[in-house]
Amino acid sequence: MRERLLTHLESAWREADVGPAPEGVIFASTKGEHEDFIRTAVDRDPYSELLDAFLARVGLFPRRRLVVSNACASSHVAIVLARRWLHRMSNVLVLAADGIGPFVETGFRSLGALSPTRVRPFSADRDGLQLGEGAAALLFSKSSFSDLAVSGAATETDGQSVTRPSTDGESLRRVSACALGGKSPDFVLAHGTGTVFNDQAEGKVFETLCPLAPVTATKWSIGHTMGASGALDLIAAAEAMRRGRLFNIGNTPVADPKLGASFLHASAPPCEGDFRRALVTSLGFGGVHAAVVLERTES
Amino acid sequence: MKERRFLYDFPSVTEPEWAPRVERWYQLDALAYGLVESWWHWRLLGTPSLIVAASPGASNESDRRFLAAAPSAVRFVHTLPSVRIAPLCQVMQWTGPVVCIQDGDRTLATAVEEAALLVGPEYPRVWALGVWKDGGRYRVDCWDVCYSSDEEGEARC
Repeated sequence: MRERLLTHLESAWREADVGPAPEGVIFASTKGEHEDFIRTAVDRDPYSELLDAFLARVGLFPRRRLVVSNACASSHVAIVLARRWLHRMSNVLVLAADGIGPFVETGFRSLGALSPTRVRPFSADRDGLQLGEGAAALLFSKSSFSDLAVSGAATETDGQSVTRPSTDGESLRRVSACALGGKSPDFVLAHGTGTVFNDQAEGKVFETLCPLAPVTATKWSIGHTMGASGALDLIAAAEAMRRGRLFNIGNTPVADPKLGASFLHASAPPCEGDFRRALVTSLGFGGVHAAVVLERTES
Repeated sequence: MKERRFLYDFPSVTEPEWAPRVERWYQLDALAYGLVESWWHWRLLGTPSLIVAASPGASNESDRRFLAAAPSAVRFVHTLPSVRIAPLCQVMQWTGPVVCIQDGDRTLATAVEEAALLVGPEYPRVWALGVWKDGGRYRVDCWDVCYSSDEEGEARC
């Protein structure tokens, strides 16, 4: 697991081509490399050891580095924290990675959360998620070196349920509204796991918060990459903004009519436009709700 | 900044006073139980505007128990640091930002540093909460970091 995750992280970092050495590094992960430690080394930290191994491998020596583990919303919480770190640093690198091993697969299976068929986010007959594995690297900087910027980010934990988001969607609505700061998104990249409760909560929020914004998702295609999923979704949103074209939710022929938002299901016409603002949401076990807004800068 | 420490044994031999506030309280693992029990003990302290949660050793002990027994959804969900905080939020009837951090042997010290960096006008009261097994018992530490401004506008903790 360690070597696989290190390879994923290094690929993401090289692809990101982040330039000058970052002053701060935050690593977001649900379980780190714990599959390697769980039977033999329970006194060791499966997160920090992986981060330190990565930093040593690529030769980074940040002033400060930290691991954030807020379940599947880890990336979003890391971004919230990175924005705070930027008050004291010129740039912060957010890394995210998670892998699939026997522990994770057995766990999700025990919850009955894995789809026995295929993942169909926001469809009426959705029956669960599919796990994925991935890594991402995002550089946040005070200077405007990119055509895109994170203009808002928020998170809250409500503890209503251990495994479900707040069923009335209130927490997700609050963090989304906070991140948007009174503006409307041009599209939404939803967490969209394909589980009954996740999609129900997100549908309720998007229906009232931004009923006209097209809603899409990535997990039907790449699986649920757990702690890395938020960072990967942010990258997907950035690509969609740069290309002026959204991707549809391929496995979902028609959206659940009970969910009133404007889902880009598989048979919806191609959605193109000058997208200037994207809302990217994320939810995690333990009642974690989070939202990040990506915005095109004038430059 | 004020520090409080709470030592406890687990499992509890009696039903805790806060049991009605937590759905299936008897399923909590030792660390989640201790966070709730400590707050109940300190509840006159009120609530924070942000929590930095620190568990040295992450969820390794709960992970091992999950593997040792037949696969169980209940045991699985308690193998995540963020889940550990959820019952505390229920008992405090509190909703707010929680940052779960890990930093090896320095996890607790780093949590306090982060709390000191995060406290400010946006988050005027930050708790760094650490919970772990300390010898034969369990232990919760709460560093309560509050924001105030002096005449020059400098933050003090």
